Amino acid sequence: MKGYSIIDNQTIEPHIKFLRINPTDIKLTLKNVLDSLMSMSWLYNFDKEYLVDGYKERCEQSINHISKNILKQNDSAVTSSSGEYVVSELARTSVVDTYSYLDVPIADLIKKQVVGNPGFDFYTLNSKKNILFGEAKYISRQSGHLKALEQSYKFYLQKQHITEIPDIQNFFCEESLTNCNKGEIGFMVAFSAKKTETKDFIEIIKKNKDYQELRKFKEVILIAVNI
Amino acid sequence: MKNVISQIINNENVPEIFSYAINNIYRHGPIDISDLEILTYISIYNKEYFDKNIDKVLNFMGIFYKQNFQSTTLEEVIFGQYRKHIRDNFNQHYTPVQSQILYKIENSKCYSFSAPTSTGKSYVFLKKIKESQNDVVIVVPSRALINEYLLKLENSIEDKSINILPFIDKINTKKSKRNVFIVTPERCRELFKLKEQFQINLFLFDEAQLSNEESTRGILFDGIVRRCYKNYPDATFVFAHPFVKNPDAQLIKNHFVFDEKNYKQFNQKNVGQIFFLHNKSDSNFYHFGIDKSLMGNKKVNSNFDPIKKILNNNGSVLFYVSKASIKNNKVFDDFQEYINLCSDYQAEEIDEYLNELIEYTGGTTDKNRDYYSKLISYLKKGIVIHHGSLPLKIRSILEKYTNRGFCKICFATSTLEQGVNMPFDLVYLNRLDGSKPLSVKNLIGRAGRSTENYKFDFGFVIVKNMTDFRKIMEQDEVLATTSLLEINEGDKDEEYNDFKEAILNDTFDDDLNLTENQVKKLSSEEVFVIIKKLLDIIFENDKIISLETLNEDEDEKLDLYESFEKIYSNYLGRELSHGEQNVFNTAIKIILWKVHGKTFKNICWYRYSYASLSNYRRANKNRPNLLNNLPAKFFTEYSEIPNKNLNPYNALSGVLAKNVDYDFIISDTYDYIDKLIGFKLIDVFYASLIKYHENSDDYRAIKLSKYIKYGTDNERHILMLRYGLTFEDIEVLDEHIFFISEEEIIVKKSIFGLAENKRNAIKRYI
Repeated sequence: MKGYSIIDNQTIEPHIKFLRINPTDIKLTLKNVLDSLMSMSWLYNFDKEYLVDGYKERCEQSINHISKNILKQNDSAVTSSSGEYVVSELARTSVVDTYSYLDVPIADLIKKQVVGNPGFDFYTLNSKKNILFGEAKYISRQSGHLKALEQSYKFYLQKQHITEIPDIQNFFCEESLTNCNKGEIGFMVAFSAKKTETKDFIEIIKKNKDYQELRKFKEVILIAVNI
Repeated sequence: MKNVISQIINNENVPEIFSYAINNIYRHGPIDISDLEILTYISIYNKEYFDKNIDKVLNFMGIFYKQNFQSTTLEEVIFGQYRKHIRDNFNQHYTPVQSQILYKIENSKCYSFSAPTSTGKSYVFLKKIKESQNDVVIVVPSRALINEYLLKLENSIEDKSINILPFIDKINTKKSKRNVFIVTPERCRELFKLKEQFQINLFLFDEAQLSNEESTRGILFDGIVRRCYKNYPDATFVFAHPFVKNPDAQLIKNHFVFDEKNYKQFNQKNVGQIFFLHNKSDSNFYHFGIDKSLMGNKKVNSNFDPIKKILNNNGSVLFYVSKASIKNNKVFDDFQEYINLCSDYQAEEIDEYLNELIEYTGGTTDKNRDYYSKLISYLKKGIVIHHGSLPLKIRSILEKYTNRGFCKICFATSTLEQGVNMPFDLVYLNRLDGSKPLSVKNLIGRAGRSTENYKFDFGFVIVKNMTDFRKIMEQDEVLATTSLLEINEGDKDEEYNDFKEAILNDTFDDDLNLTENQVKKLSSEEVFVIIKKLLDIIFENDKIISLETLNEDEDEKLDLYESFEKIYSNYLGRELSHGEQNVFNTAIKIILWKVHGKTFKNICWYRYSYASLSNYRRANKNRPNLLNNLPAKFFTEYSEIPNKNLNPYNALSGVLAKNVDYDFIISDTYDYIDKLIGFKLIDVFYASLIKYHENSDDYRAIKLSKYIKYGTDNERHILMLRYGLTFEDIEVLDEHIFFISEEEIIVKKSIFGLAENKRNAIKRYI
């Protein structure tokens, strides 16, 4: 089960793509995220024996509750935190499935990701050995494309793609890491999308100054998640 | 990452440092001392940033008992789910550690664990004790801890059909359904005499590291554990320790059947701590971290005095000091500036505590009068003086006072067994030498009070030597996995070996509280002759002779003392040294006072009056020159005996008669009563009298044995003592008790006319 369907797949420039996807099972995606988060927390090893049953039940309740809130576009801290995870995870799987790029599973990403530490949300590797750095933005009542573009380029300026190398180097080959050090990288810009049509999105994005900077890199994939 | 303390203080890279710590906590739990140091520093030096992230901190630490607990990110939801899960199972917001301890106790026949001081294990135990259907036995290392448990349980178990007793006894049988016994290993022996009468389904060995003590107590502890296991195989056995790395040692050494599910070391903490160095030379305070490579190699100047900060914020401070420095008043001079920060309470707020103490000790708060007690007087300011030589009654009062939040500064000579087992905002270690590392860690664990408020709780620890302190903090505490009972120790004395053999062979005489060999020594013809002589002196017309009569005839008095000494010499198998004689004779004097019904207060008065020449000074009060040069009398303070190398010495050498410290007299008197008479001499004299009676049928021996053991031969009063009343209580309550038996106490209506604190001792039985 993929948990999404692709409703748009366009090429803006040879190295710039636009994917638009519909989540088909937010609960499934959330469950993947929650399971991965749980397995990384200290509680998981602390209490394997007695946690298992109770946790499963609780998890289901939370997933129902959160997904309902996401669908209703309720604006709470939990919804926005969960929404970001959902956008990130759906974008990641859709890129891996569509382009057959390297699959760095969410569990591994969470293992790497520092809780509360700002940084890229997901990663992949294209066929030309360029690491693509993914950033996901979820905004409950509007589309998150501008924020996602802004954040992606900001991280680049902060040299986040270099400082994160120690955390992610095990996922990637020597060549791709050398390329990364030379700045030969790409970006995946994922965002929650509302009713705006794809062509309008593309028009707006093309005019964006952060996008203008990002397009200078090896590859850019824009992923709009209808949520 | 390095120099974290300086970076936080200078507001550099705070988000990164915070992420580092919170990420560790998310993954591994609140177990690393540096992570908690970091959180504490940020919460002090960058409060705004910290407050924005408070949900993360409290969620990831698993501090689920906080009020208005909330989870605002998906990561936090994980913890929120777990919190609800615990709540569903136990109906309480326990922490993950607490819930696991409960789960294990409920699902194992034995469970041994260790956990830091602030874990809140007493809440967990309380739940188990309350829920138990049958009798519960709690074994603790000291009478001070018995007292503490008693207070806690009496306050939280309202059901009067549950007897809560500090000894093993079958009383109040008509009204009670079950018993909770809180006992030391020594008192636990009584259990086997009444074995068939109790159905015990839970044994709780708290502070079970006593097992590791290389003494007769350590041996006795293991012996008791084994006997309990053998006699009550269906009960659940729980062992709780602070900090130790291998709690399974307890199960290994006492041959329990177990696997890896039956033990665990918990390292999770509920409060943060930071550490200060108090530099003697410049009187400044410096921050320092335990892990130098992370927190910084160099100490960092603190821009505030942590003690003042705490006191000005109505917090509480514990000074860990030596007993000698309390006795010679040095600590009060050293910390005068902090004492001065404590203003007096309104009299009506604290008078009940002061009055209770004055009534019990006979002390006064008037500095210019005899019997002046600094201990009582300081309570007016919120200052508590606490050490191992305080009578339990005084400790109880001080603990109640502290529990009510009145204590601002506590000076304590706290070893684990003797201290106030309460959290403070700041712990100042004025000394590290001569303390067991485990006790020091326990003490440090008291820095930081956990609250239900939705905030991160933390405490301060101040030391005078960073290197020694770091060593203690980084050292693992490991329990031996083989009991001393199984080890051949060549270097021990005869008494120790005799005791060990008796425990191993199950030949310890539980009735007489002595080994077979010891009882044999006290059953010789030679001893019987001495006892007869002693009884002839002490009884006059079947009554114990009055003190006045005894004092009239100096020869007879000397004969009496000599008889007691000879019994003890026979028991030891040698003559007493001069130093031992002095201590022994003082003890006998106190025993005789007790036999004559003198209260603790009376005994302290007599001793003070003697040492300080109070009558002589009163008669010469108009001769200041004389009084200003009048030395105190030669005074033999308590020393441990037997000790043949003990030399006689004057504890008040160089002290003027008018300057004799009444607090010193109180604690010294208690040391005699508790450590020498109660712990050693009573058993010797009681056993010799019982054996003599078996041999001679001389009823006077039984009568005196009761006087020595209980301080009375009045059966009604002995019953009252068995119900936990003290002589001080009996003095007040006797006339209001209509009937008392092992089955019940029936009181007169008049008892309800007494103030509540006077009725407290008996309230569970009426």
